[in-house]
Formats: sequence, structure tokens, C-alpha cells
Amino acid sequence: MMQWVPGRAGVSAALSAAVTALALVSSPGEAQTVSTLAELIKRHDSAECESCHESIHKEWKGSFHARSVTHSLGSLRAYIRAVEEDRKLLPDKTQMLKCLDCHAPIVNDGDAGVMQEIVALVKAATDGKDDAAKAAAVARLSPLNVGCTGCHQVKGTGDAMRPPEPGVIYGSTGVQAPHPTRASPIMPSSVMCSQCHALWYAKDGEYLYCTTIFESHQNAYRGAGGTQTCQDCHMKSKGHTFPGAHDQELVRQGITLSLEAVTYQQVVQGKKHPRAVVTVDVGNLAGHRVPDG
Amino acid sequence: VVLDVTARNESGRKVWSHRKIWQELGVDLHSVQQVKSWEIKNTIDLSLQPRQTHTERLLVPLPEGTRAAEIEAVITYQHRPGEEFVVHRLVKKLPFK
Repeated sequence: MMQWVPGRAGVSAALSAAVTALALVSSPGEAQTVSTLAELIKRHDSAECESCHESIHKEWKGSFHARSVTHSLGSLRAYIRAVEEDRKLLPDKTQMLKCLDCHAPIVNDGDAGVMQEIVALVKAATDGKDDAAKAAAVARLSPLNVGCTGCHQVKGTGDAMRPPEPGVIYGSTGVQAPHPTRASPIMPSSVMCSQCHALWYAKDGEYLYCTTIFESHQNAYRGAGGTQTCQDCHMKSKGHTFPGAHDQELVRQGITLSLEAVTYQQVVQGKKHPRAVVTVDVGNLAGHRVPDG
Repeated sequence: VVLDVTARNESGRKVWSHRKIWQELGVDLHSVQQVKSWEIKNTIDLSLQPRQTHTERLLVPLPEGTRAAEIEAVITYQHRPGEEFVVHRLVKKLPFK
């Protein structure tokens, strides 16, 4: 069998064609970015999930994850102001991902234009004087809250060497479903949550602490012998409502109090004075410091 | 997280109190955020650490002639001023002979 051996021009042409092909087709592990907010919202529409996962969707709707953008608009506006006025930078994707990679993970799939749309909407939702226009901006931003695909797709693998595959839904197990699924080993572990609830490094080298709790979980709790995962306390009993510091029952389980007190007569210069000796023990059974964000 | 320990005399009047606060990074003693989230870099951690018990040992001076005292310890979780709830409340009654 004869083998074709390209000459120098042939190699160059072949390389050029390959580079063009690579540029046109995204790598298997990366979703192509979209250029409008409408496309982004359509790609990550949780209503599709709701049709089969109704109870989980209902739980999630009551969670703070479901308000991660709309509950933080004041902070987002303050951050944009800080970027523009203090740092004299554009609130571009690099800057905005410092907030939105966690508050709205799906925006990773959007290009620079999508980010401009989002920045304009945050300003409209907070600066505007027309209440109807502000409400409309909030409603438009609402689908960006941490939803189904934020965790089960965009953050599904937690592994830069194994980025999530487009359209695949990651879970603790790779069950049969009408959509592609894959088991992700991080899904039932604290590592999953640590992608956002931990120190976050931006592409430009800045790190953000944001009073998140994973460092405390990893170093103080695990380091002292703790074995429970985030999910053990924040998902086991109330599922995708992700109860936290606003759940009084959970807080009561995490903080302990004991009180001992005895009377005591303190003698000062031969005279007795009434005293009480009080011992109060406050314990933290949570898997992280308390309080924290 | 706020611990309030108070002592009341036999007529119910508060005669002594003590407060200890464990606070979130970047907020003041009233849970009001003082530093924006992205500005928190070099932190002082004043929170309650996991798998640890904090002990407050207190010598409570009571007014002369006190015949009985009621010691109360209350843990409150305060998200922000006005948004708080009592986590635990314990009371001990102490008679003076």
C-alpha cells in the first residue's frame, strides 16, 4: 500500500485546515459560549428539569441558591461601582466572574456581550427610578440564580482537567434519564460545595475570601477529626432547600449551651458579700466556624 | 452569635449582665457589614470554631442583702439588627441561705 507523504506545502495546508477545524468546533469538554442573554437563559432553563424533578425543583425554589443573584443586587452594584470608579477597570467577564462564577455559574457560558447585558441589568435593577423597569430588570436577571445546571452541569465535575461536557447532567450516580447523565465523584462530597464556598482565585490573580466556610471546614473541622460532609447537614433532611443559618432548627442542632451556677460568699475585709459563680459552655457542633457566610 | 448572661435578684430586677459576641468576618459588633466581600483579605477570625467549646467562667457580684438570684444564659443568632432569633435559653435559680 502506498503512503502519501506530503511535501512542505502539503504539511502547511494540512496544519492550517486542522487549526481552522479546531477553531470552528469546540473541544469535547467545553460548551460553546453564547452571545446573548436570551440564549444563555434558554440553554439553562430549569423549567425543563421541573417537568420530571418537580419536588426537588420546589425545594430549590425556597432556597437561597434560588436567590443568589436577585438577593445580592446591592452588593453586585457596589462591586461594579468599585471596578469602574475605584479600580478604573471595565466590568468585563474577568472582573464580573469574581462575583458571578459563584452567584451565577451559568454565565461562564456567555461571552463578553452577555456580560455587558448583565451589568446593564444590574444597574437598571438598582439605580433606576422607575419601579416597573427595576422589577423587569430583576425578573430578567432571576434565571441567572444558582439553578439546576449551575451545580449539575457547569460545576458538575469540579475538575479543570475534566471540564463538564455540554448537555451532560452530573449527579451522585449516573442514572438512566431522558438526558445524558454521568456520575461525578465530587457530587456527594464537600469538594462540590467548595467550588464556591471557599477562597476563590480569579484569572488575574486576585483572590476573594467572601466569608465563605470551606477553609474552616477543611482545616478546623476536618483537622480536628470531623467527618461529616456539607451535604450531611445541609441536604440530608431538607434536600435542595439547602438550610443554613436562617433555619432555626439547624442552628439549634449546631450550637450547644450549658449553664452551671452556684452561690458563693466572698469575704472581703472580714465581711461576706453575695456572689454567684457562673460557668457557661458554648459549643459548636457544625462542620465549620459559626457564624459564617 | 451573641451570648447574654444576666443575673436578676428576687424581685426580678436585672443586677448584672455580661455579653460575648462571635462575629462573622467583615462585620461589626451589630452584624452590619463594614468591609465589602471582595475587600476581605487579611482577616481576624472572631467566630466560634468547629469542634470546640468556649467556656465563660464568671464571678457575678450581687447587691448586698440579695436573698435569691436567677441566672439566665441566652444564645441569640443575629443576621442583622432586627433579624434575629433565640437559639437556646437556660435559667438557674440560686437561693442564698
